[in-house]
Amino acid sequence: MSETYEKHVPIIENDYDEEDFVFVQENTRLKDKVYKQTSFLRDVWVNFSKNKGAVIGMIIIAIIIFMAIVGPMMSGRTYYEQSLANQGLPPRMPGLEKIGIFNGYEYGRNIYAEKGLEDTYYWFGTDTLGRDLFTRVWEGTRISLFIAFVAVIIDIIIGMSYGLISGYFGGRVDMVMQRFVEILNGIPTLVLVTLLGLVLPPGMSSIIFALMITGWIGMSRISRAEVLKLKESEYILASRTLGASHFSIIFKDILPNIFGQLITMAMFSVPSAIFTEAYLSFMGLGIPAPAASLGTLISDGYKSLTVHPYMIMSAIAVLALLMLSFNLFADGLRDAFDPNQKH
Amino acid sequence: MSKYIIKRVLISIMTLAAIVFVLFLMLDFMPGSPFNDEKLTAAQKALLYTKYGLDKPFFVRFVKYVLAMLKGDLGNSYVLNKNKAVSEMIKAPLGVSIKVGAMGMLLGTVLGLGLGIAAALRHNTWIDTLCSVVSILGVSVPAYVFALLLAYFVGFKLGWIPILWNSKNVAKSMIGPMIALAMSPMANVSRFTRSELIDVLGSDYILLVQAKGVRQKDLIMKHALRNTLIPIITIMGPILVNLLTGSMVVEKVFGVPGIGTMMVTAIQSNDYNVTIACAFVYSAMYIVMMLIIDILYGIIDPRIRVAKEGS
Amino acid sequence: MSFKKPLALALALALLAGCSGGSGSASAGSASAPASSAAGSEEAAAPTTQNEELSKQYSNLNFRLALSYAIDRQQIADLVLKDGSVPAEGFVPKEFAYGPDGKDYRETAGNLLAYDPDKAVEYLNKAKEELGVDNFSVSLLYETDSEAPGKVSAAIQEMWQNVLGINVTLVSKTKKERLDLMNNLTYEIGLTRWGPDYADPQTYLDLFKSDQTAYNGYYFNPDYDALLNKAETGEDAADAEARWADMIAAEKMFVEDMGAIPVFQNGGAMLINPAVSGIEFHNAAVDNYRKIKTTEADKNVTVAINADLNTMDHHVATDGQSFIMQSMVIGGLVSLDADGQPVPDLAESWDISEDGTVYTFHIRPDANWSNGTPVTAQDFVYAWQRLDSGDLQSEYAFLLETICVKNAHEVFDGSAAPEDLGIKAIDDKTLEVTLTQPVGFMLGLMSFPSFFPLNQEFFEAHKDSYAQSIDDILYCGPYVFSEWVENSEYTFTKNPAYWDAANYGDYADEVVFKFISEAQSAALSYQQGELDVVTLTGDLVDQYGSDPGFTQRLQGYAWRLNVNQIVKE
Repeated sequence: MSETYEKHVPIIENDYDEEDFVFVQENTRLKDKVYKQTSFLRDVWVNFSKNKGAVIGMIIIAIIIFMAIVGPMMSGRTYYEQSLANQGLPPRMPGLEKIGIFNGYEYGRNIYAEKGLEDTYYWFGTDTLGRDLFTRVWEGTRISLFIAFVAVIIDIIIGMSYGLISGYFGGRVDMVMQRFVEILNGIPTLVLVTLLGLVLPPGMSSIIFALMITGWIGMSRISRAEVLKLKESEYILASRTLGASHFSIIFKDILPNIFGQLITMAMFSVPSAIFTEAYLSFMGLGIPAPAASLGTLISDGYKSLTVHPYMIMSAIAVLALLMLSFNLFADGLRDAFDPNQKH
Repeated sequence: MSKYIIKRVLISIMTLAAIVFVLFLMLDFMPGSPFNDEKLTAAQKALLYTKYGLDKPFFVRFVKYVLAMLKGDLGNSYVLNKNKAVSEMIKAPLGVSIKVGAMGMLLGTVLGLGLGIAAALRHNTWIDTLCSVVSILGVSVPAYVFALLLAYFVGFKLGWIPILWNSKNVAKSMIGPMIALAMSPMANVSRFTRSELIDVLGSDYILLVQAKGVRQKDLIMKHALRNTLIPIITIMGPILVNLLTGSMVVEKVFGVPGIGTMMVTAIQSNDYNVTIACAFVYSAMYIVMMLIIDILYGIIDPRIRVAKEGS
Repeated sequence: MSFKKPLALALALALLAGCSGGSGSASAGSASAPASSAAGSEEAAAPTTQNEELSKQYSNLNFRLALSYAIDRQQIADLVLKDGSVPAEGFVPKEFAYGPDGKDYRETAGNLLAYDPDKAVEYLNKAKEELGVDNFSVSLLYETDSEAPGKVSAAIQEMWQNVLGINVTLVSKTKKERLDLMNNLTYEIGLTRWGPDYADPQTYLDLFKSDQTAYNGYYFNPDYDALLNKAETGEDAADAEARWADMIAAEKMFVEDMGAIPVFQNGGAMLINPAVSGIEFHNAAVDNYRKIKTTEADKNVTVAINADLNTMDHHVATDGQSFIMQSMVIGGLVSLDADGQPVPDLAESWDISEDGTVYTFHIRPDANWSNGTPVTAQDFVYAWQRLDSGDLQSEYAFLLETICVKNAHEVFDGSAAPEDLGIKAIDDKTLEVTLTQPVGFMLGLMSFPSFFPLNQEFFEAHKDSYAQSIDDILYCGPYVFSEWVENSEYTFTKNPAYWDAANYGDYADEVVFKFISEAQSAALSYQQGELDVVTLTGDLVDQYGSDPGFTQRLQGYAWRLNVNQIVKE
């Protein structure tokens, strides 16, 4: 987490006559200086790039996304191809094996040598069906990210519209809509998601649907709060007086002002969506085999955690990195969009 | 204030009613049946449906269930513990789950506060780094993985805690699940406390107090901490959610005979009454906690009260 | 299954939203509409439309043969399951039923299955030609309640894709859902299993008789039915050797028809504390934990179970775990010795009539219930009548028909009075059972919990709460149920009122069953000495294979792929 401290710049007003005083020393820093005008996005970027953690987070995310796209094609093996003879091989990487890590050893034995596979390299090892974990991990990352992003985008669209409409119209509409949110929010996500996972046919779309059904509430809260704040402001009043329709006020005048917050919120939602997906997989409601997500990889690896810990480690590492970097990134974004706002 | 509380209680009751309806509806859509074992013929299955009143239309069953529920009757189990009253069945597991959950939450919050305060006061030192590492681990490692690692290293390799629940020694059995559950609250609380306290310490009024020459200890205990703690109540809700999610899986790892284990088994075996009861109990606990947090917050922070009454 | 249902659900949720904030009465009405219509459609759920194309595909014998030949069963057993499972050699597993010559059924029937990729492709090409298609897509249904089916299905998927080049989709469901889909015939290929109820191949072969709709529904072969009827109730019923030959011929017919594709026979890998002995595993009966011995001083044995106790009511129970615990505290006319042969238990002796249809059991004079009342013949009569009653709808009532008890069917469907059931109490300690024909495995089945006695007076005094707590059960077995911690621990201690209590000193004083769903935790706990008996998953075999307590056994469960030839939608 990072904090931004406000700079206290003293304001000097020229309410004296020049003759009254003589400059002892001229302070150039306090002199009027015209800065080049910068755009909002540039401001955001400048603020953001000052935050080291956020930049690191962004770089890690970029690397992981890159690997999620390219990774599954790198080892020359597919994510579903089984080789039962090669099951349970520990990680082995050329180069790294020379320095004693990723060297194909488990319990002090070189499993590759025992199976006569001296020339074979599985970078992250193989699972209990002899599938290449390297390919599966990146394939799983791709699917997890996809599920999370789609769920979050839908969340934004639904939550934003809901919050905007509820906040903008207020009164009875707002009352009814807020009661609904409160009730839906009262049901523990976990219970709802578990039951939905059972009711819906297994597959990616069902998981996205289950994630979506409660995910939008946070978004709607933010947008509603902002609308309540903004709708009394002068520029909205001006728009209204000029005869702008509700639709155009909501989407043209209000929306752009809350977009930054929504993006930040979305970035916080991505890791929690990935986490929920992992939980669903653990309950046996994940995406069907042979496809994999980080969640199904973890719950598969979990079954032999005490025997072959490496089977779960690579997926856990990617998951943890994703969590970490998205949280750092979102923190940075939040501060960058609104340096004065606190959480 | 009382008006606000009444309103919140009413909403909570409405939410509970809605939850029963949604649960009932979802189970109606749930594929499978409690009575489709290999050895039952179709005719036998139909007879069993009639016997348990499952052949009645949705609304008849729903109204009957709700009326019975108001009298404290949650129906009988179909599969898990055949023909036993569900209200009897869930008593013991519920007690166990609440005990473990509450202890986990307490432990996590206390440790989190301590760690967060230490990190804020020793900003940018090793303890600050430790705080960051703990909070990162806490939010990025799933509870079940952490629980199993705990069972493996601390329970098995070191032999310090029992790996499995033993009903003859509950106090000792609780240590493992409690620590596993404490992880997520600890991470969240420490992270939040740290940033809040740093903010508060940098604020003008602390500067003023400092200028007045108040001792460092009093400054932190009397002035800074109090204002840090209030906002922490707001994150108790999300923490609670994590705790509930965690409890289901942690119970499985340590073999805790709690409500989470029971719900998972009930869902798998289509034991409708047990599933509804467990899910309802989960929701009720959650709603009651949220209610308490909301009211507490209203009492502590007068601004909230005014704002909420105003709207 | 389409997306219609979720949509209706979402709609109902949305309407629910409308009601919660608005005025009460109007909203209740609006929410009820979609809900009741949804419930209505649920009622008429049994699907009727048949998918012609898929049905044709799976009705093609060559296609089914191709699927079978493409499965490398040895690899599945050795590399995927690793728990001592063996490849299937036919529909009926081995080491559970023995013929009149004393030989294992499988030994006489031989191996009917093989892995042959070339043949598989050959058959596939024939199928393609016959059906006029370029390629096939199949979907494979499996259950997620345990780990093995998922792994086996993934392996089969890969084998089919590899060898045959067909497109295989996996469908994972809970066991209950899978059974539902299979009952409704709304599946294509389903991985399923069967555990024998008694030591005779009939328990398997009967599954695919045309009138067995519960689990089959798609295989109708009059020749197969005729052969089995001849063996079971027809001309060969009394001739053990001819009956055996008929069974073997029927199985051969079924496998050649590929009515289902057998895959493997379940093994069981366990860790048993070397100090503990005397657990008797039976492939076609309930495992016996009544004679556990331990050399450890505390004489306590703790057994980890991976499925929970469901009920102590032995007429309602359906699962192995419940049966094991019921056998510990009650007991039948006979019990089984280590070899599975019936030995006297509550009955001290019995006479069988010349024609093998009338059994007269002499109940021990010293057999008493734990409340002091004697175990009488009337207790058995009452128990059997309850088992067969239409009110109870016991899942195991069919066993009475299987062993051909007189009027079993008529009493069950209500066309005869309970008193007409072929079981009579001649006096307090003499019981007479009348069958309609001789049944070779009848005596062994008397050790099965469904046939255990029930004291009428006690039962009627407890009625609704019967068997729901340790005080609601009457004991006459070697142990009593002394502590029942729901969902967790079940403790059994010795029963001083047991007829053989004097000779029970050597056995464990206390047997505790502990429900632990996480196999890894159980194995770790075993290593610490907290548990004495633990079941291992295949993944754990790698690690514990060299443990001194490691044991493997073969179980009677046989897994197969049902290939649905009447695919409904």
